[in-house]
Amino acid sequence: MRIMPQNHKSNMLKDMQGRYYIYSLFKIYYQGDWEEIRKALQAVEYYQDDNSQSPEPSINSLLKRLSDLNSVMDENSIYEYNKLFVGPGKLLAPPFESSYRNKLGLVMQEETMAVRNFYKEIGVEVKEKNSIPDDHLVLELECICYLLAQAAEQLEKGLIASPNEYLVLYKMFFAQHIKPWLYEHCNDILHHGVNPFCRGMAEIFKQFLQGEERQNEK
Amino acid sequence: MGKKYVISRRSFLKKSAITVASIGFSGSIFNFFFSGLTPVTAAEINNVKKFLNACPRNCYDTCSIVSTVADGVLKKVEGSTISSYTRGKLCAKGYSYTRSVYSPDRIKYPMKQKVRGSGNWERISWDEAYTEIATKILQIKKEYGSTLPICLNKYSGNFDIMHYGIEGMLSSIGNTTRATGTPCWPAGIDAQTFDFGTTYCNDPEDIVNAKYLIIWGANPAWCSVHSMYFVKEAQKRGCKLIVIDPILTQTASQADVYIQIKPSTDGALALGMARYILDNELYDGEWLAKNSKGAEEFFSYLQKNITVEWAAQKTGIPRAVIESIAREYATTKPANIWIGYGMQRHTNGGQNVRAIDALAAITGNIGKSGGGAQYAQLQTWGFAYYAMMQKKPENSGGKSDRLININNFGAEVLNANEPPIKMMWIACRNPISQDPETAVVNKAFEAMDLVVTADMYMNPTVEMSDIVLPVTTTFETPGVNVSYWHYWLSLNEQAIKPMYECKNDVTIAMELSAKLNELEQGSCTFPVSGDLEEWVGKEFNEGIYKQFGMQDWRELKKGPIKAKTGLIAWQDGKFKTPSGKYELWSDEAKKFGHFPLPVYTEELQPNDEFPLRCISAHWKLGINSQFQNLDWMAAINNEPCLEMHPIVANRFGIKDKDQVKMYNDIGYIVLPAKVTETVSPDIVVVYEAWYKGKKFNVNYTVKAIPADMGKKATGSPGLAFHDNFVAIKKAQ
Repeated sequence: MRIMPQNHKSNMLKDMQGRYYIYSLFKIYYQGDWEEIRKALQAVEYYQDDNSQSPEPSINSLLKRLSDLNSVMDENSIYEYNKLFVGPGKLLAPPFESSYRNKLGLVMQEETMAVRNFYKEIGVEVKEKNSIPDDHLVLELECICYLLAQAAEQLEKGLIASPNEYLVLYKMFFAQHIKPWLYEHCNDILHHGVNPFCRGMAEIFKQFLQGEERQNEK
Repeated sequence: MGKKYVISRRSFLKKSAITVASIGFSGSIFNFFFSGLTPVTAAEINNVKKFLNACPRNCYDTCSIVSTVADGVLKKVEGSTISSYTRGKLCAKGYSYTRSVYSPDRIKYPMKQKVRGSGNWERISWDEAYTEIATKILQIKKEYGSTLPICLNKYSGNFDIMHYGIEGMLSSIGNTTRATGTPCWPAGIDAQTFDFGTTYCNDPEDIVNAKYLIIWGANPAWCSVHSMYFVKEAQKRGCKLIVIDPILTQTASQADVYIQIKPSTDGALALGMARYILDNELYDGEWLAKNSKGAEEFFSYLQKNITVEWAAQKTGIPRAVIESIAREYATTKPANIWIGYGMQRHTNGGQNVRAIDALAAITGNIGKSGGGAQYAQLQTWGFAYYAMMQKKPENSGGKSDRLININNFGAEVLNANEPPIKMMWIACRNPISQDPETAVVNKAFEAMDLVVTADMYMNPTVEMSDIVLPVTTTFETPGVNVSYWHYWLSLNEQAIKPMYECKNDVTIAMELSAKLNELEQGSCTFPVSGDLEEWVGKEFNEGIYKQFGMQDWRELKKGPIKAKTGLIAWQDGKFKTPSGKYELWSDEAKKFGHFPLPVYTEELQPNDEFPLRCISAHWKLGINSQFQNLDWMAAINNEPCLEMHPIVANRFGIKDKDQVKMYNDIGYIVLPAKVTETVSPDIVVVYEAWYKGKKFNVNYTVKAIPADMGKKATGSPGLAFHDNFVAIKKAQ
């Protein structure tokens, strides 16, 4: 077993932590529990203090913007959020991969099953299987968090080959199930949304995804 | 710097986690935990299963469905091949069910609207919803001394028998106000009740035995597609098909003879035919003598009041044509008349149906295979209604339920007092879209303290609700269905888990009951627990078992079962009228304020200000406000239109596709013209439907004018939907 240089390993971990952190934040955001969202955004400030020297400056910049959004969150953010992602009306920016990729716009079709199969390959499944579409963004973000956490765990243990396996899986998932629809989803939010909080979250998410895409393609 | 990282690599990550965790969010990569996902614990068996389902919509066909489910996902729906009525096929609406279940637009969670009609919705938990609803119910009961200020408006959005548990839920809280009656067919039901004792038709599969078939004011090619097989089969076997309708429908296009009648004059045609049959002694005197009451009086009425020439003038049908079909109908045996629901949506609708029934009676076409005056049947609906029959709590106030007219819902809600109506529960209905006088209905909603709607999709009624509860589709819950037309009984199995947080209406009733009793013990009698499939079993009784030749309801798990008896209506000659005879003369009709004989009641006439009659017929891709909102249907046609004859178009200077304003004194709609010779020059036609996202509702112009009949059998008179007089002009 080859031992990694500590500095490089540490930077990799810090980098993964930053990305994980943002994915976790958006997972909470798409879960729609507003008390949790508020807490998570408050926590960003503390996180920034502890991570001021993160090796990825773009992450820091996004975190700063996320932290600032806390001040524009209001009652209207909730109403607009529900119009975009929850209902009860036609969703203006559905949080389902299949809504964008299925030719009929349906959930639980082959696009959803492809996500289910990916989960199966990595040994996970949806707790409320067949009640919540597997390709709900919350679940896809949880899948990413899981992969990054696994990668970090392997890295922490000093295993060189293993972390790559999970990072490769993450990159695959990003390429197959995030990139093909999430930009369009963010654009839908920016097209239909007027609330600064919802729009701000979409802008940050989109920018973060662009960074991830660039990094994944390196 | 490097040293710092080396030393603090893991500890800093944990420190961050501790710091941020103290305010509720960790975000640490080493603190991952599963929430929506879970590690796979058991090897998955990817199996494909078939389930039996039934279409619960308000439709003649009530199809027996076979669903294919793979890995818990509904993959395909198809018609049952066991049912000789469904015959392995569904209609376009039925095939869209996969779309309906998995549309991203379904209502997924209980939600509360900040200000009614504002569109500002918050997601709430089921418990929060129940608490708010239960608290309001108890507060109303305390303030008014009863639950009468709570009004239920539920009808035909889901005809599964267990869905009558919604009525049961309201009964279980005490006496309440009920929107009573039906918008669809009550005048015709009363007419048949006066004539026969109830509405009862031959098995529609028996149509193949008809030698002469008149489809009168019905369009099965759109609204009962499975019946068309039997119509076609009858034609193949030599049956002559006559279609009578103000609109040259798709059904009419397949007829041997199409007769375009002036709307609301169907009774005149039937009576003119009867006069011809009388004059030419083509009636069945033997049948009349044995089975009828009032034949002499009826014939006397015909001789004194009716001539074929008069009928020709009234109906716009040449005398020779009337004579021809009268002769053919009376002399070709067996002859069958399918009486549609459109013709009874007039102020003389019930009398028109009675006149047509009389034709079948005087020619002896009642009680015979291939014959009949086919309107509907309620023979297979004799369930236990376990979910519906709930006891009222003791001392719940009020003497009985208060009944208001479903067909004048808005005004009756607003006019109710002592006590006023303060809360509405809406289920299986979309009154803001479907009721007349939309503006008045909206006002009624505005006047409420609380409006709760249980539905699958956002619609104009949900928009005006305070709380919306997401309900299951037919595939997500068990049930049992029969038709008001054919004689098949279908079990509806739960094929898939409910999506999101959707619940069955009976589950909602049980859980609301639990909350009510938690807040005030004894305030609700509805059971608080129970397996839904067991509830289905409790809907059966000995009568149903006997009728369908079953020992146990679980036999339906093998497939739908057809009734074993009663397939030819009135074959035993035992009519359910007071006299036990077919009553051409009905004292019961007289009691309800009608002339005892089937007589002609003058049709409403247009006036100078509003010179056109608007007929709002059913649309092929929807049932009332259901289906057309689905993208599949919208992809085929997403634009309402105003159909008018070229003569009408010329008269008003309108060209095809021009935007036209159709209006009267209560409202207007603007929609493109479709100039077509398929509609009679006496009318314009707008198909009633709800198009998602469009400000279109033909009921903006429809007044709550009652039809002549309906009160006896359904509790409220019908609605004269087709006596809607309007003006049109090219929109600017």
